[in-house]
Amino acid sequence: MHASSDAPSTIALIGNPNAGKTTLFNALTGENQRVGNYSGVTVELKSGEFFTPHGKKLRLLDLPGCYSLRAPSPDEKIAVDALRGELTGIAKPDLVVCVLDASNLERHLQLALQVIELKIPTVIALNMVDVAEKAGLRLDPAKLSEELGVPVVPMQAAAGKGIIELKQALRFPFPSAPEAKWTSSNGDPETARRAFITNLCELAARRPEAHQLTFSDKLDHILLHPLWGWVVFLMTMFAVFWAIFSFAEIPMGWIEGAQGRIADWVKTQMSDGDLRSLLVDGAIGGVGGVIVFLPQIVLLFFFIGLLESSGYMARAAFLMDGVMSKAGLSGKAFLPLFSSYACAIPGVMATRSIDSAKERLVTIFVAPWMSCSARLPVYFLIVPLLLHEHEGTWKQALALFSIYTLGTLSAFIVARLLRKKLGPDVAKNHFMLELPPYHSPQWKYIFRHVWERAWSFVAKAGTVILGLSILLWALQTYPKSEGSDAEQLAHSTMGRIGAVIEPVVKPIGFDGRIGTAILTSFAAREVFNASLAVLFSVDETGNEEEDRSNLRDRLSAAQWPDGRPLFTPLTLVSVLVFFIYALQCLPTSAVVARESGSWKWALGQFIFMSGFAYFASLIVFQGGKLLGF
Amino acid sequence: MDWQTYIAISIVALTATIFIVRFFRPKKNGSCGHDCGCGKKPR
Repeated sequence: MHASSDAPSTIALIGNPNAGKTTLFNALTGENQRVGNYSGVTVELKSGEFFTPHGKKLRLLDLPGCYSLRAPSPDEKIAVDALRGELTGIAKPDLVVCVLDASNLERHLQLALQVIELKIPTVIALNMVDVAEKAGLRLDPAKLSEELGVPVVPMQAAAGKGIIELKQALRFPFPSAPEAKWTSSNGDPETARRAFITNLCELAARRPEAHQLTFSDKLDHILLHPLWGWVVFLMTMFAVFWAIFSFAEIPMGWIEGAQGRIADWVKTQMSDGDLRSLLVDGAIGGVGGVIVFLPQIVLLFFFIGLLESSGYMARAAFLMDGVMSKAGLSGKAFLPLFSSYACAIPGVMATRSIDSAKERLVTIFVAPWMSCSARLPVYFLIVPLLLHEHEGTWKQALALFSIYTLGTLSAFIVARLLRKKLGPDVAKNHFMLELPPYHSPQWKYIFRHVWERAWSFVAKAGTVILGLSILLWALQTYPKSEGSDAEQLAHSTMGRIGAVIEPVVKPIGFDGRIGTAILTSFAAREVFNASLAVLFSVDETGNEEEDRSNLRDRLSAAQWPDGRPLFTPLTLVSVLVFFIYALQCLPTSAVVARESGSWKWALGQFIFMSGFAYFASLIVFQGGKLLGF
Repeated sequence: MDWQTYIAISIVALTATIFIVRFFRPKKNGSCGHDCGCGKKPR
């Protein structure tokens, strides 16, 4: 059954989400992994090695959390394939350690019974016995072991208790594959399992007071209340948003300052030339323009980690399930879409915990319409110009709220239509979400989670975005011209493309210069402002708000060749509508291609969103003209 | 052309080459779940 005596035997770790599987994996192997109190934390196979007390080396596979072996989600499919030995390069496990949350034994035993039915030697790690005992459960691990026919080790993985006992239970030779006695009766296996579990819990996990409410149950009376639940949810989300946008301002200023100082230092060290321009305008400017959003990303993932770890995120997903179902999605789509308000890249990456493959694709498809923070500099430029005001009035806040609402509503409508078009899933899915007990946040894991996400973002900025910035710099620099910066941009490849597309963008109220600025913003949306500043010859002062104010003055004075004002209110609304809908973010497309497993989806999404943005702006501009605006 | 232009153009050419090679390089398996119609077939 197991491999040669030299090769380490393979042990698979399986369990429901939130059973403490990854914590146990870390405790056994010493490797650090991310742990969250929300389903879908482990989304890929992780492995590590450890030794039994007798010196036998074992290889441990950390399988994604799953509720059953029906395998409707990508996570569960990986787990089932691994158990059956159907994953290339991964040996069939010699033994399975099934991690059960002792406080939720009735539900977690469902998976354990299905694992035992596979006839693989099994050991049960009965985790969180302390939580179960606090909830009043009287556990009898010996009786559980006798009835299931497998060793049962009571433990508290988070506190490191029971680890030695578990290692003892894994000593060689492994226990033989158990007999699944509940399958002996004829009839529906699901019913047989349920009957066996009910009987087993009566014998080995008795609740002395059947209706005793835990602290979490009492808290859920408020947090899942049809009215107060929503009040708390909205207040929490508002607090998170407010904190992200206000706290991030300070470190964002530091990053901008550092970026300016590095650029100035390079300028003093090198004579004027293409390489200096490539470094300062292309590399430092391009990467810096994206890295500046790092504080917002860090804060977003900090709050997500905090909400996950405390147990509230699962309640938020539960509350949002009804709202998301209007868009044909489940509550699990809430987290990815919420994350997309900061940046679509982590949002798309967070879709992995969605069970239905089709729902996951739909969520990935509409995520970029949740207005990300990279659009904000453009909104901050255009909205005050539209309202003839300085930055920061309540009318502008209302306009911003409308912009966010329009993007979100459009995303929901398209999600619903697309979900309908894709048809039902091959495998039936039920929205099943663990509502774990509330507990104090695990700071160590939150900060690790934040660090991993931040590093992944910085790595992307340092590779893909750096490359794209260099290519866009080349398109804006060559062929060269001897004139001013504005003439140079008009003469460059990008400027020429802008001039060529002018007949295409004219019907939506844009001239070649706005068209060129939009083309340059496909690497990152906020580049739009910098490009407009170059095209309309605005000198930078080093103060972002002052620069935007100067640019607004220039844009207000800009004219068509026949003397008509270029930026009419209608043109400004058209620009806003274009930015709400267009997918001007090549890194997002790269992540969509990776997550959907196909460049076709990324390309289809890009074409659809760009086309939609164009036609929406066309309707706004031409419709507005017809109505006399 | 001065030395800065030569180096800048070389960097741009290298970057473009890396992107082209990455685009045509065989892709690793995605995690689409295999029943979404994205073209990935189960092994």
